[in-house]
Amino acid sequence: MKVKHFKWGLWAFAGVLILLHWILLQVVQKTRVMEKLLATQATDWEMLLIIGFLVIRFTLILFLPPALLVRLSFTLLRTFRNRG
Amino acid sequence: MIRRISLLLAGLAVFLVALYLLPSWWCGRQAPDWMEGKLDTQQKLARTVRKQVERKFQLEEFHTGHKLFAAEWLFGSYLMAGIGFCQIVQQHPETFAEYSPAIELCIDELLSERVRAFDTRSWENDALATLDQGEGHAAYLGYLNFLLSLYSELWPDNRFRELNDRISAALLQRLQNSKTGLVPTYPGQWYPVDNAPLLASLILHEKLTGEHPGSLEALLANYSRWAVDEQTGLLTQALGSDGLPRDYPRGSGTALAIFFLRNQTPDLTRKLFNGLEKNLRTSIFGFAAVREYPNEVPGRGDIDSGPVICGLGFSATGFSLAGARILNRTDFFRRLYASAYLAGAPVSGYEEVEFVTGGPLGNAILLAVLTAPRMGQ
Repeated sequence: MKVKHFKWGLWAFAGVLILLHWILLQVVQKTRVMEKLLATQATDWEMLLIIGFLVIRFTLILFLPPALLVRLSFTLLRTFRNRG
Repeated sequence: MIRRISLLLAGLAVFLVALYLLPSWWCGRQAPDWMEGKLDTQQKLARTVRKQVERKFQLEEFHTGHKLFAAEWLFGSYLMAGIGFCQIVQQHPETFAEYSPAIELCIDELLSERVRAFDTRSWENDALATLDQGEGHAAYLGYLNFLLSLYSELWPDNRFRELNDRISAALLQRLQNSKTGLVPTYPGQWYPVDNAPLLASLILHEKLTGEHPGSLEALLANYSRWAVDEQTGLLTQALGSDGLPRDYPRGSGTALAIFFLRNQTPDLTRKLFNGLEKNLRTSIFGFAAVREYPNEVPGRGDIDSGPVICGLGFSATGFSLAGARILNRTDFFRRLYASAYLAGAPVSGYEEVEFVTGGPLGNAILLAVLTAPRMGQ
């Protein structure tokens, strides 16, 4: 049961990240806070927004695909072992 | 228990290998198209930038929190957009009719009073009205003349040709009168990076007209002597009136100078790029980044560098795309492009692509650096 819960948990986490990423992308695009950051003029709240966006984007692109690959490998391994 | 630990270790190994290979591959998958100069890829970004140029940038759009910087960004947006369009036409001459109106619009805007006001305010005189007897104005005249020379190379009979000749003559005179081989950007401020487009514009102009043959070699040697830090091979960021360094050699200035000097000064371009690769290149998970300062130098971010996070400079990394393309460093280019994709958050439509976090200036800069001409082609 625990294993099953974890399996779906990772996919659900990916879904939430994608949704959050999309929302923050719209906010960053509309408010154009990145320009203030590039000019080193961003306020603390704007910095927080950008850091939040980048953390989610980096997690989504950097860490999630390898984690899903590992998850998938284990699932396949278990499937083959059960067949065997 | 042992089986469980082995499985965990195997999982960790898969994770680490995937972390190194997957994200950088995914983010850099369009880099080969940019490196090859595929027209479809270039045009997607060019369309976005052209739309921004055509609706005209406003000073208030640039949220820099500082009037001078916002005005410089307004100037920089038209400049980099114009250079990007020129480079596309250089590589795909059949697009001349499509992009020449946009190039001329950029030049017209650069010549407008509202765009050149930042330079007029700093010098307390008009750069164009004092061409024959004035001094300085390295940034405004140097960058503008670079675009004018580039456009004259594409179309020698363009309507800005006479202005290109006049500015070139004035800048040559100012360089020859300078003790340090540099023209000041603002009163009392000498920036080697702002003199790179100035020099490159004169070399281009000399090739077009055949005027003043040989006079630039001595000036170029003088520039290299004063502006390049011999220890690192990087460009010094600022000099004093005595020609001595007032700042460290830095990544943002070096990478931008390489973009402008390109194949006009092949030896100097190679020397600067080798210095940049040797002292500032960094790699993380298959992504490349460029440090703003050499390792032993403590430094913070400013308007030139953009944010500096863990020593890595946003501007230095972005501008280095140009050097990697100019010098045909395919692997470095792909890794840098992956970083630009990761931080720039491009949103693609069917016909356009926009780097969301870049804003108008960021998109114009990316168009210019991603289409910088490759040496030997």
